[in-house]
Amino acid sequence: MRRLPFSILAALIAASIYAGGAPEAARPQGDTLRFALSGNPDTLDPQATQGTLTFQVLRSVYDTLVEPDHDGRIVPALAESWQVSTDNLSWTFQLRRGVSFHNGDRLTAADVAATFARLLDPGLGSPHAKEFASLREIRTPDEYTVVFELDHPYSPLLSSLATGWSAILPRSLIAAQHDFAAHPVGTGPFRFEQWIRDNRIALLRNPDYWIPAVPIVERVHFNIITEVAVQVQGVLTGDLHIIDMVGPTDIARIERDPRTRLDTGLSSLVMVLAINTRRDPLSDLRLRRAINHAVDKQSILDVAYAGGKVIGTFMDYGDPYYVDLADLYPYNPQRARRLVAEAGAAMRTLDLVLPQNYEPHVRAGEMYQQMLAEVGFDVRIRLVDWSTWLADVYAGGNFDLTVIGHTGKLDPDGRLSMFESDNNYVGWTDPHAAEMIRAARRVAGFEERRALYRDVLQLLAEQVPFVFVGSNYRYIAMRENVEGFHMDAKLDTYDLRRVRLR
Amino acid sequence: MKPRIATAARVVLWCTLLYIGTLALVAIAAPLIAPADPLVQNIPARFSSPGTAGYPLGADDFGRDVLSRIIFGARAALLVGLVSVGIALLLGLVTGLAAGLLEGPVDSALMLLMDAVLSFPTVLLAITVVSVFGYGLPQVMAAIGVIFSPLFARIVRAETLTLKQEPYVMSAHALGTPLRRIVSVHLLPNMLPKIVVQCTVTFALAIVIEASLSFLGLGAQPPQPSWGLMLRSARNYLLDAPWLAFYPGLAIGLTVFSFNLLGDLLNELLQIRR
Repeated sequence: MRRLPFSILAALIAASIYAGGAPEAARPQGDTLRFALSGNPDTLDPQATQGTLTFQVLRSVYDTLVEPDHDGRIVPALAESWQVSTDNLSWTFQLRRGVSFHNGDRLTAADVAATFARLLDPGLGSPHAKEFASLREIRTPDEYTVVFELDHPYSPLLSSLATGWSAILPRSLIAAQHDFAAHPVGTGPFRFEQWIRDNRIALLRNPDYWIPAVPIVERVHFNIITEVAVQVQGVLTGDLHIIDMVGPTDIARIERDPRTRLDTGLSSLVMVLAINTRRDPLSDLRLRRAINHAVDKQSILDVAYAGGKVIGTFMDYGDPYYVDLADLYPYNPQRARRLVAEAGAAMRTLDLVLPQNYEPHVRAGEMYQQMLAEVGFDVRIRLVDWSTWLADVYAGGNFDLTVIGHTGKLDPDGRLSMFESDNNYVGWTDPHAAEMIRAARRVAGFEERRALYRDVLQLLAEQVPFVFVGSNYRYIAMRENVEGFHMDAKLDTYDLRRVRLR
Repeated sequence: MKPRIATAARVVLWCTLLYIGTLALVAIAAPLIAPADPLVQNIPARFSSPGTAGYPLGADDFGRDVLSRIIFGARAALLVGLVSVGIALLLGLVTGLAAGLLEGPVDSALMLLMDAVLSFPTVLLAITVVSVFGYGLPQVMAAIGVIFSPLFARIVRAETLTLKQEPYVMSAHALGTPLRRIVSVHLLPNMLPKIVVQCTVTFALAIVIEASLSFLGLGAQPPQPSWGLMLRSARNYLLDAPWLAFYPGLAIGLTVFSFNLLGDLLNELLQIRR
């Protein structure tokens, strides 16, 4: 064996001393929250992406005019209060005073106007511009008042203003063409410090945050870790405080360990078996109902999605607009077989397309195949990669059956607007439902909108363009000394403002 | 010393032949031998450990019988081996004979093409082919066949060039024997030993590549029983249900080992004879 040259040995020793000693002494361990981020964000510009990872980081760097509270209600944030005119066309927001950006600028109405001007600038090409299509102009009658003037009533506006891409940016930096993609500057609880790509994003406590004595931890490190096993190992050894990737088989291990605990909640995903209603024989409602009765939904949730709750329609449980239709189509293979016989259609082999990179959906697909075979359907599985699924199935409608999860939206319009016409991948619409979806956009009162959406959801459930299976549990594992953590299931982001490390 | 090695080698040879023969029988008679339908799910029995009544090697995450899936998986493995080696052999024979007999520019062009195919990493090339033509076993078999054809082409070409110089071939040629007859009577039988060795080794490689591609999700498609696919789903349960990975892993290991060993032994036997 060859001996290591002395210089390398010396360097190794020096490195180990440095890594083991110096940084620990420089700042106390307890003040840095180490959070595992499941991937590298594509950008840190909140207006330029739809990527969840970006908003998981930026929720701590930026604020929005309004924000969802822990129950999903919209509450004041940078805006202290707001009023809607009787014709639902002008929305007036009173800004909070004494809020400052991380670069020292004071927050005024001009910043809000500049932010939305940037978002709607065709040069930026923001994927969120269409959400503000109803916006005619933004007026700033005084330093702390912003008025959104709309072309036509649009109730989902408030929810759009509460989501991450409505983050308020400083006007001076927008004017200076600042690179927000690499270096975000907001009013949020933490300032951006550093982004080492594919490794870590570091944030530093903002001492001038507008909520007194918040945030609590000194630093947040988002460590970018894409492997489930590495995340789980990290939280078990204490290298990480919070992780959001927990495999079904890791649950018991994390619960058993006294130093870690599991935060379990329903996700806002609606897992579906989507049915192409354009194609024969599935255009026959009786066959779609047969499929619905043939599926043991709880079993699918337990085996393929690591547990969950059955829901009967296109709205997640816990949403203020949720309607309980879970028992509309109970698991009943006999009834399914009867319906198939009744339809008497010439049965052909059905094409079940599965997105190959989402293993839970593939597993669910294997179970659907068997459950449908038991009541007389002949189903063949076809696996495709994600880009093919998007182009061929979601955009192209080239499938009979497919399995997917639909993400949550703050406003029901986000989920339901696709059924205004049959221009959606399952090819389903209904004149009555379309009219109600349009009407619900124009009225502002919660109860009125709720009544309209209840009927839409009922129609969707009865007509079975999807078998609505349910929402899965999402698991977040953390060290037992972490307190005050909140996950916003709807937005899929994390509120770290009140996190404390005991 | 020599005879003892030969005896030992002979014992090993018979053992591998016995294993491969049994495997082939199992594959052919799979529906008769398998205790259960490899596709039928039984959710309440999921993760039954080996030895549970009705599940000699345990049950997988859908409650399917692991033993039955391994038995039917042998079918997929051997089929892939046979078909892809067949394709590789056929393509290799044609190109190798053409290159060796015609020589000159045809030879250079064909061999350049073969070297180009060989210069790609095998699995990477297979992934590319399957990604273009779609996932599934038929595509995998075709891809493996094409990728391994240069191995056969090289052997056939080299043997053809050597044998062509042999006096008996030259005299047959001088006597006006038709080319077809020279190839079938003089060339092919004499290069057979080397081809057989190459076939067994390639067979093992084909099984490994099929398992790798299925593991990556590009080969056999669920719920089809395939060893590589079984490993793919087993990797999620390594700590809780290790038998799900162990048995298909063992099947792949033993089979590949046997074919490689057979190749080595045949190679040795044939060289000793020369």
